[in-house]
Amino acid sequence: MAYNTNILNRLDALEDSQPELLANFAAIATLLGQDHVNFNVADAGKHNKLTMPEKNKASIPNTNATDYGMFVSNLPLNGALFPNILNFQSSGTTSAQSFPGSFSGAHYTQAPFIIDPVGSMRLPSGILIKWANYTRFQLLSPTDDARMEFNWGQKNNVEDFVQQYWALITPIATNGAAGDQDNPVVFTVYDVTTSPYIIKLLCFLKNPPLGSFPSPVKTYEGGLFVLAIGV
Amino acid sequence: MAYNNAIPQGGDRIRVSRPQILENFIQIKNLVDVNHVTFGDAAGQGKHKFITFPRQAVAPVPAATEVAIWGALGTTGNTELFFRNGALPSAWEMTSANKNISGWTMTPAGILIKWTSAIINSAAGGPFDAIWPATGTDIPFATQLWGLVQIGADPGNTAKDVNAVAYVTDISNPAHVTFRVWRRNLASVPGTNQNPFSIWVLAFGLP
Repeated sequence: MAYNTNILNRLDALEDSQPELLANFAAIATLLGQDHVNFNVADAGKHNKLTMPEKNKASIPNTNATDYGMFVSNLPLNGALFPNILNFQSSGTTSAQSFPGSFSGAHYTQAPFIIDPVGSMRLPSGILIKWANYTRFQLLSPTDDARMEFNWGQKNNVEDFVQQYWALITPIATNGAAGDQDNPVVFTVYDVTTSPYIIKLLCFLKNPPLGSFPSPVKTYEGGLFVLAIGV
Repeated sequence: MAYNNAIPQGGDRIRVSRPQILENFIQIKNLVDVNHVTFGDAAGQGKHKFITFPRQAVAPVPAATEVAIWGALGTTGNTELFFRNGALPSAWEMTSANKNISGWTMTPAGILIKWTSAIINSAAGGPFDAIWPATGTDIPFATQLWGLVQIGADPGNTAKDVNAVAYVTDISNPAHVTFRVWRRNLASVPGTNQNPFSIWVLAFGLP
């Protein structure tokens, strides 16, 4: 019998109510046996675990001004759908920070960059950390203006910044074309906040003779690591 | 009527106890329906469809083999999730952050991550202290574990080669990261000064 809140009617005999009462007590114990430490044992009422079924919520549940919320939902992200994502919800809001964990990134080519891999990780605080490992980076066009833009782009399984706060780019010397490891390149970041997708940087190549300024770029093959923090 | 755990009493007649018992069953279901999958739901009665953490005034103290998660007033001024491992002496607020250009975030592990950027106007090579801003909400490092300073560009002339490298010399003072600057000028003579330049600072530590 199922849990029933419509029992013990006024004219019910005790013999009629007895099985209904028993069924209700059994249903309570069955329900509490899921996730909770049950009656009559030490730690009764505590949580053994938290099993959170995804409910395909159409809207984010509200929290009161002094509450904090946590729930599970599917996460649509750049055309892909990730199931059973843990969401952390600040007090007094209807917005939640999804906590999908890190991704290994998809392989794709955006001339002249080949990005492999790109990933992101969102912390429960809502801070988003992104990284990229470019295994092959080319400077193709000699120019007096060495300002460049690194563009995260949008990838199906990597979260996008709404706002970017901080970034760092470091070169990777590779065993590419002869002389690349003897011509280190230095990246200096100068703007990360103008666009959540773009890191503005200067690229300087040590190019004989020493002291060339600005160092005219030549064909360079190497790699770079990118790390950025934002929301 | 409210939940009543003092019924039925000995000597109570059934006509008196009936509505009291019924009310208790109603209250049980009302309580369960907050956050839990309800009775008889095939999706998993008793599971948690949503977890609401009311702000607690007193922190729980889990046993040595337990952990506890609760909501409490955080450094941010909002209710945040706190975590305590019963085997450790203290708790930490794992969802707090200052989401700004100079900011910080706590992590579930209890590690504090801080970042900032600044402009160095000095012509000298240092040492300089990259001081963690205390504006807004802040959790200071109690112990700073790892620090990085990278030279950025001249904020007023982003086409200029600042020709400088930063290297960290001391992170023992949790209020700042100490670093020096090595400059290579256009004629490759170390020490020639070029300024100003930006710095980008990142550090990990314990709150």
